[in-house]
Amino acid sequence: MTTNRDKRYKRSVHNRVLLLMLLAGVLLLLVSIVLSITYGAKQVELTDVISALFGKKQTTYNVNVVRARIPRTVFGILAGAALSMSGVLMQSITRNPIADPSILGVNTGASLFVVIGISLFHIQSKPVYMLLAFAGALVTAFFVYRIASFGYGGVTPIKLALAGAAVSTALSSMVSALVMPDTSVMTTFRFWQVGSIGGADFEDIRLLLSPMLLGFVLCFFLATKLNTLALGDETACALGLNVNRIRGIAALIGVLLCACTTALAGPIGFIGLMIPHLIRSFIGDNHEVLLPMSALYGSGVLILSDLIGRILGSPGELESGVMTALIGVPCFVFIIRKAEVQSIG
Amino acid sequence: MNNKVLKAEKVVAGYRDKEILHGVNVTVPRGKISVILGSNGSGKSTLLKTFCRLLQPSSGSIKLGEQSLSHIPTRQIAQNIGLLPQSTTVPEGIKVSELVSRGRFPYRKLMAPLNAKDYEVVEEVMKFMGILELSDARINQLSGGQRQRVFIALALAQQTDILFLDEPTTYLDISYQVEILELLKKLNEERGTTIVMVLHDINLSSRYADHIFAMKNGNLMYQGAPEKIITQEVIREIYGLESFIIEDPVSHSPFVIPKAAAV
Amino acid sequence: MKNRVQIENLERKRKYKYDVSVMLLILAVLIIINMTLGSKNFSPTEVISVLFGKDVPGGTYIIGKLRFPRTIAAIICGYAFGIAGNTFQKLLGNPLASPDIIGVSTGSAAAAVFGILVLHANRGVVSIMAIVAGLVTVLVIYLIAYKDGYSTVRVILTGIGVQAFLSACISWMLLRAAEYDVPAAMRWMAGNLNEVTMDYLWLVGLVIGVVSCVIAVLSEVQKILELGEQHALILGVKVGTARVLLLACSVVMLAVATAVSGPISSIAFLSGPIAGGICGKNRSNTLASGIVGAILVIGADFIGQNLLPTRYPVGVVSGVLGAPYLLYLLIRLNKGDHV
Repeated sequence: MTTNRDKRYKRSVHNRVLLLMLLAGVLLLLVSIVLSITYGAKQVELTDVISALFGKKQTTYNVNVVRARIPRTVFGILAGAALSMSGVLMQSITRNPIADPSILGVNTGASLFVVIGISLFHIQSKPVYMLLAFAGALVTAFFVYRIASFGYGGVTPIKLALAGAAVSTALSSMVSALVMPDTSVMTTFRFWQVGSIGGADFEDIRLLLSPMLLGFVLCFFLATKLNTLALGDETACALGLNVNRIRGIAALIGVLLCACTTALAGPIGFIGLMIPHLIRSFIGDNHEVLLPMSALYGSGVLILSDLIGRILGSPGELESGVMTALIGVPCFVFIIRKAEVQSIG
Repeated sequence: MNNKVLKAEKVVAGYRDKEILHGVNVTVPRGKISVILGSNGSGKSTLLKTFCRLLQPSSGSIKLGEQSLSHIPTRQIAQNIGLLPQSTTVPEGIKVSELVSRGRFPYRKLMAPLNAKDYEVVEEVMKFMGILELSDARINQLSGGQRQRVFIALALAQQTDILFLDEPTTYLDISYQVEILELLKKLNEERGTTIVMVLHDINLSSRYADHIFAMKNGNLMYQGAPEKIITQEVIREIYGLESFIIEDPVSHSPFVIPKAAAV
Repeated sequence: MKNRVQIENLERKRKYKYDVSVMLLILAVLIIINMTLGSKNFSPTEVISVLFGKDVPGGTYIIGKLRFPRTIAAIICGYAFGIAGNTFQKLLGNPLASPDIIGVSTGSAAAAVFGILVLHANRGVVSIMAIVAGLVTVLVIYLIAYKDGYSTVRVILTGIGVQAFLSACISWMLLRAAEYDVPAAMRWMAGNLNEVTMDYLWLVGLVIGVVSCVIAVLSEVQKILELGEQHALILGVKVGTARVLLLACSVVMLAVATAVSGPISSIAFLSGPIAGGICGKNRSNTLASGIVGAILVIGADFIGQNLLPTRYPVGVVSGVLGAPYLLYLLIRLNKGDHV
């Protein structure tokens, strides 16, 4: 009797935490959306915001400013969710607290492809850049994962981290080789190299929307399977899970989500690393809740850091890629210090 | 330096904020083979590590003769106390004789190459451990038993009176386990080396030990000759295990037959 | 009377000496090539007479002011990167844990980029900033990673994290800078030997020489450290002191060399494994990795200056040439049950 009641009590506490987290997350997201549209380098009145949102045919300067902020906010929601869900996937398939899409060398791979496009094929169109970055991210991530999975012990955290870092080093010298002789390439390229959600317009978002949504949906189908996978390969296998297939699919979706973001925004690091950790420390390891909750908070935090970047950097802006690094590194350090050495080694 | 007694006085030690040994007094019997027994988490490895100064006691002290270990220069300790750690790292591509030669480190001067004495000792311990023929082989080509002998040879090259071994037989086949223990016995009989080890196998311990330390929850519960320690009562108290004790037909030492876990 | 172990040991030493001599020979050949050939070719006798202070028409400036300092700088930097990389790899017990991969050089780079783009400082100031920043970065990594004792895994992971952060800062500075300043910063980051003069090379050479001697003296200790912390303690090594000393020496070499040439990529990473492949991995290989490093830098610089359609900084050449080898090494490493 008592144990039953204890269980029920614990569950109710857990549910209450969940509810609280959900409410707080929704609130965070809403507030950051509103702030992101209203605040920025240029202040606007609330009435302008309302008239911009509800389509009155006014075209004052302020209304246009607000309208320009809408796509970046929409993209921020998508990108934040995609990055943090991708982080959850990476961390759970590698059982690695520091796995993050950017640690897999995804960004450098995307950079290399973009630079090749700019310098060798003189490509100027944005959709093609996006396609190149997408392909580069995909190819590199699989390459790194493949290298790290060779040999003893499968994909261990340290092998993965080092393989990613080493591949990044190798690729970035190729990037400099291509960039160096031609100043015009360098100029075009350096704008891509800092991640920012500012460059998004609805055209681009429409292009990426379907793969992203596909990724989101597939993620939720995977959640239960990831919970089983978390028990360890052997146990999961004994429970009838095709471990390799699930891991492969999860990796594919993870990279897909990350590549979509990188293609449009360039490298935005650390969101995928810190959000899942933060959420996990509150609500535990159940992927069915972890995935949506991470997506919620990821969106909120990314929009917020973009906003902070805009305010701090005004009259220009501090790109969101830099902001997330600024916020993310202390988190990274904290995680490394908190995690038991055995578990990361 | 020879013939000094090593003892632990009221040693309290542990990791981070978790205290594992709660004031242990142990005097290592000189010239004998001692085995530390105890269930998982009883503090036997911790005690071993504290003796070898891999772990600093938070209070109490380890004394070699009259001096506390923390007051003796580290090289000098290295000439007196040797250890075969539980897990060992093998540098890539290293050859057997090179690895064994590294045991001469405490006797070498900075920059000086190995001298005639060093070579003599290295060759001699390799002969003793039966690995001289393997001298030019790479460590990663060896079998588990051979590898363990190489590492014991490394510890022997250190020429210490006292040798600690942390589970030297774990992961080895039963034939290698016996082989290693026989070699250690020979070492003890021929050279009078004091040996202290942690073993999991009660029956092998009972066969090879002169002296047994039985630990539980970070305290030393019993010590003495195997015949006195390996009894139904002690086994029940230390491991929580009901058992029969019979006589080992080979060595006539006590032999434990487990019945069922005590409730 | 020599016993078996001794004979084997002497045999190994003889082979090592032979290997090192061959490497020195290769280095010498490369030095000669580098001094004589180029945009204008000179005979070895002309080169020698310039070095002894005689005036050779057209040669005094090119050889005395350009090629000679360039060659010396290549040797010094290569030697320093090689030894520092090797020591890092051996100490951290992982061939991938070289300073350029775990983010030590990025600290120097970030400071230098700041100096070039924001402060518009001259080369001397930039160099000093790079040295200081390199040292500080390592200290920060070490302090962050140090918690209840030292852990190699934590050092490596922290290094990678710090690197990611600094790279973001660098990209941002590049983006913000005036367009005409960017190439200078990019060149610095790629690593190049332009504009070196003998004025300060003597001092740099002296520092690196002395520090490398310290590392060489400690090579026996380094070998014991490779057996792992527990074994090293048992054998009477003061593990903490020895490790900090060795790491500090490597970092100083690295920082000083980086100040001269910028971070020449792949050299620190490749020299140790190449030296190990030639001389065997079972020794400390300090000297051998230094020589390999020097060979790589001279070779890469010669290729970058003379053999390609555009002049490339040495670091780009070494990086691109090193990339395939790096990947090969990575795959092979992971295939073996190491790492």
